[in-house]
Amino acid sequence: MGRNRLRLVIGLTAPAIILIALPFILTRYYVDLTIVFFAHLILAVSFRLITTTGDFSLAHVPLMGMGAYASALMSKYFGWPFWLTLPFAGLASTLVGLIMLYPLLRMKAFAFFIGSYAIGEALRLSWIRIGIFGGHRGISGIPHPSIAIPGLSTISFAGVLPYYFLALVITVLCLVIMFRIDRSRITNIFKAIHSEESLVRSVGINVTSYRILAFEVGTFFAGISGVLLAHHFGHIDPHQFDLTTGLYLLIWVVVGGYTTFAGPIIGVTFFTILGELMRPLGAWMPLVYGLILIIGLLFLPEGLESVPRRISPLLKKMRVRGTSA
Amino acid sequence: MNKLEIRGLRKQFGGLVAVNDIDLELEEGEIRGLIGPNGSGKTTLFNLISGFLRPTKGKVIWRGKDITGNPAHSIVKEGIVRTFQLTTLLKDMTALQNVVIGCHLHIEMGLFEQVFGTARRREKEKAVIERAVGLLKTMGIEDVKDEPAGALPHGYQRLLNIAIALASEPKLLLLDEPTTGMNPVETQELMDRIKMLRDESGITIILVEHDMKAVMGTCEKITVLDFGKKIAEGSPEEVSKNEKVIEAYLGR
Repeated sequence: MGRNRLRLVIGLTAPAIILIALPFILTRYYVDLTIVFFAHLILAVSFRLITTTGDFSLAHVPLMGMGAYASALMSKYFGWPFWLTLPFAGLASTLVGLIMLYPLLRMKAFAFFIGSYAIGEALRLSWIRIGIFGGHRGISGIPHPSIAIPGLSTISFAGVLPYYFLALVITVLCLVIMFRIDRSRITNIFKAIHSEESLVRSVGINVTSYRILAFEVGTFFAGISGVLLAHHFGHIDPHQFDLTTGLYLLIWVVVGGYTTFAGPIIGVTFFTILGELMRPLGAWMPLVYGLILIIGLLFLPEGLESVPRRISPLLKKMRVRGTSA
Repeated sequence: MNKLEIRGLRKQFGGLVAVNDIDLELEEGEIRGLIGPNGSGKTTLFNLISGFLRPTKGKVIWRGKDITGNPAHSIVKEGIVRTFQLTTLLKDMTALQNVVIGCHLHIEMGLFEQVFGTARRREKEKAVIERAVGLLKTMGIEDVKDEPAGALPHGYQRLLNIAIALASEPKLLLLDEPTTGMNPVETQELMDRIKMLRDESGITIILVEHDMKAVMGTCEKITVLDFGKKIAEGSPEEVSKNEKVIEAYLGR
């Protein structure tokens, strides 16, 4: 018990210290990269939350875009402060997601996958067609967030360093909430819907409403992730949220693993570091991504998250051999 | 008073009439046997009563209320719970977790409380687990509560399925071949348990079963289906002497 708690404290403080020290050590380029990494973490973990019910949604990236657009429009044209646009952009994604669900709930498995692509793409194309979203060029000059404290001055998050810490706090908050959901009974019901839907129906659980719940909670966080990106880049356009990003998201989650909460986190971390190491490869990078996906599917069907589980018996064997020799 | 009343119930799959204008009436606290050769429409009838399928025609009336075509989850709320012919379990979860999922309707916990609540949640959680353990005890399988359901022997899995169904506190329990894969001793034990359940909590049970000895020994009244039609109904003695029944089972 005591040892477990110690482990937990170390397991939480070590990354905390690293994440707080990081922006002071890294160059500007890498701090920018880390902010994007945070947004991708929220995106991948919320995507995985929806997959627990068996629904793989290719509309997830367009719905992240919905959050980005909503926050950009609200702050640029209405002059709303960041702390208002953040939740409202999440809600905007949720609302659009609810409309998408009307046809999508009638679909399952592969049909859902393809259907979600079609409807997500429809959303994305509407940004090109509808004037207020700025067409192909998107929206530029999205203001930097600032938070006014009544009676005191306004804190501006214009600099990369303040924005880093704002993104860090939001990301940690999002991940903690999603972790709590993952540990609650609700996730057991989500998983049960995936594996034995008829049993779930037979004990009085409304399968449809739980699918809506998973999709909507995941979509809210996708929207939040979009807000982080929009105010970081100061510019968004429809091409940021196209299928390419959706496929990368799939690769992160599939290679990282989606049976546990840690899987997508491992996946995003792995590919962010890998992407940096392989930057000299340039246009060849998608090829390497594809190769890793295939290798992952062949040798680690349960994802990178299963590596410790797979290695520990091997290590034990080696240790036994070591002592007997 | 009749608790369950089925009037002219029909289910058609394209040209195939799986359930053909069936009438059925059940008394409160009755254990009714439902027998018939394979493909005679027993499981389809269960699917229609429990809302897993919508009937083409006809009515299902439960305690004076028309529940025809209602969605499955709302029919469970009315107190009608079914089990499945094939063992249907969450194989990766423990036996206890399976029953806890079954307690769903009786856990009063909002989303917010489940995600953020602490003290009160833990208390409720404890109560649910106690209830689930109690149900495992009722079925005599509390010793395997922490085993993954998928690793249990077949007979235990069948009993676990009934424990899950009981977790929704049914007033009418539809058991679809609960003894499949059980040896005669286990079958007898299960039949005794079913009778005990009825005697103690007064629930009404419909039992689909292939083991004739078990059905005859447990049910007061038996309904026989063949090709989707009701061909006989009555006490075990009456039914076993019925010409049509003998013909359906033995062929001409």
